[in-house]
Amino acid sequence: MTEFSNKQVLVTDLPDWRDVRFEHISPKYKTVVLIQYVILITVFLVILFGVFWLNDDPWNSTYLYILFGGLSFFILLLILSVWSLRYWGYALREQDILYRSGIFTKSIKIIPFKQIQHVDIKEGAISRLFNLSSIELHTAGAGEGLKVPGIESTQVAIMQEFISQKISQKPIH
Amino acid sequence: MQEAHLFGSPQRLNSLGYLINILKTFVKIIKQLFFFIAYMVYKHRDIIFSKYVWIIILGLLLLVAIIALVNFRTFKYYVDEEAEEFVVQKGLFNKSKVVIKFANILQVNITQNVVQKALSLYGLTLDTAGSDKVEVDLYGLDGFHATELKKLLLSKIHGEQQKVCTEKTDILAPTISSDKTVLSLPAKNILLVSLFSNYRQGLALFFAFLVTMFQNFKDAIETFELSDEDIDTAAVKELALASIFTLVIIVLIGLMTIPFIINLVRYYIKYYNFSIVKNITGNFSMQYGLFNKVNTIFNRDKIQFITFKQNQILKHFGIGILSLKQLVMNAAKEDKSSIVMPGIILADRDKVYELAFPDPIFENTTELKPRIGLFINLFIKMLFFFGLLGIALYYTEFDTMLIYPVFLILLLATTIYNYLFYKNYRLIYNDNFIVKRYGVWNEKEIIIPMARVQGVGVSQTIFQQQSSTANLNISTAAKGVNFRFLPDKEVNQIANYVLYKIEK
Repeated sequence: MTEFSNKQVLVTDLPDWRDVRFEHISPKYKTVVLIQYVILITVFLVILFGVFWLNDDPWNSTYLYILFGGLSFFILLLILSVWSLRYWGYALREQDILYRSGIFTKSIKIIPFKQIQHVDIKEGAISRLFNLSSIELHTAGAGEGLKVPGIESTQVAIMQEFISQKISQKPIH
Repeated sequence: MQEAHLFGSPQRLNSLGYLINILKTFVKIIKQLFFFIAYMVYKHRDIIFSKYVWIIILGLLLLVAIIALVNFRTFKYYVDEEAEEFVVQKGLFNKSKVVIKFANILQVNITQNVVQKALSLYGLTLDTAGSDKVEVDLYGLDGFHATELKKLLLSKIHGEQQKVCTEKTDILAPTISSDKTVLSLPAKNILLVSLFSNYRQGLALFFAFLVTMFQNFKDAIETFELSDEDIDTAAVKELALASIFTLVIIVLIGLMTIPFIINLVRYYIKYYNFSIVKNITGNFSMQYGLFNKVNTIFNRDKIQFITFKQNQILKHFGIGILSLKQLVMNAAKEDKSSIVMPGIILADRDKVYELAFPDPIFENTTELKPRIGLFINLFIKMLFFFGLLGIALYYTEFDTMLIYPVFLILLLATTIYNYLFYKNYRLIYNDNFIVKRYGVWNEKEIIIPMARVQGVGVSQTIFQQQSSTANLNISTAAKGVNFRFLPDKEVNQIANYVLYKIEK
């Protein structure tokens, strides 16, 4: 029992992830998401027009239902996505990286540098216009890893440097 | 030193290995050309009967023999003791050399498939850290060379390991005397497990079977109706009645035998004669298999987590199914990379736990129960599902008077099941392990050593915010494990503690 209570003290003394100050992802990423959705909606509209224009009666009620249903669905998704970006963020600690996302389900993922196998930097076509990149961290095997989007390209390079250094420090077994 | 002399210079495989290589090459070529051949046969059917086909086949065989000969003659392996490497050379024009450092060898396996058995040869494969692809496959070794090489490699790996974990082997030494069987699974227990588990998979397969049967049955009836009208209708009825009777019998037999047959293949044939043996060198190795015999080292570094499950019938017999989950490279191979011990008794299970983990699992543990939110969540999901089902039933216009009582009973049964699920759900943890226990009919226990955790996640839905509960997501190299609706204070503490354990 003494050992047990000893551990409890230890647990409360441990560094708490809730104490970290999260850095927000770049506000420019909102524009990226917006453009992505605009493209998606355009594709949706083009397909819809393509299908119904060929019909004899393009303005029938089914068409209108699908048009307005689809549009409101996409716009709702767009608003939620852009709004949720306020909460998204990441933080680097000495030993691990934290990533926060979601709106209805807020989730935090923490990956220790010790378990990271390699680091990737990815640039989407739209993100590149805004000088944004995403950083991908891969863990061993079926481990899920982590992807943080919408970080300034200059900052991503610094992050990658930092993490790579941390990875190379770990003993190879 | 004699072994070193034996494998110090480049060695060829046993000359009978040539036959295996011919077979392997042949299968490979057939596999590659399969669609081409199928297409040719389909497109030009008359080609089969022409004499050229035989010339082509003869030429193909000759080609295979030559390729196999070249492959076989150029395939050489040796042990480089100075550089601490195991080297395999192959190829005539495209020479390739696979070099594996002793330190990177995780497992040395001796296998024997049906062809190898007929030629009394053995295969030796090496598993290495980093990739799950078999990089080295010595497919044609005689018994002497196989065991000697395995012994040599094991002593090298063991020498490497001794520096790192001497204390671990010391802990195990007093409990088990050297060179003897640590545990074995009796065939009777594997049969029991095969009889009484995996109903769900069996049922799913069986329903698929039933649907096709029903389709055929309907087709048969339709053809009867479409055929000549002067057929004796009484005879048709009799025939239909007879076929319904046979169908019922098939249903009954299938319901009983299909899970059994699947389990026989999955458990009995694959894990026949399972045993864990301690070698003279101090390593533990596992042997199993009826047709395809496998002999592999019990490597605790490869184990990501262990699951133990038993349903109520197996619990009555005091046996269960233990799986060692290992590193998974892609999701499709998940089944391949785990080792299952069907029909293990509880005492043996504890022995495996001891072998796998140096620290005690169930000492100084703290138990966490989920909040009622878990039950509410399951209940709402169930209502949603039943609601959809109800709407579907309403529109199909079944005989609703009969359907509703059945519907209600199902609803009640599912509610009770969900309640029991919530009641049995547990997170148990101590300094080194996190254990998840759950299940109603199938009781499952997942043991995750904190050192193997790859990442930690905490999530909270807006409903959970009010009741201050959260979900914990533990990610390992084999699979992720979720713990739901636990008090968020404890969840965060566990997350912090696990991170501390990994990072310190």
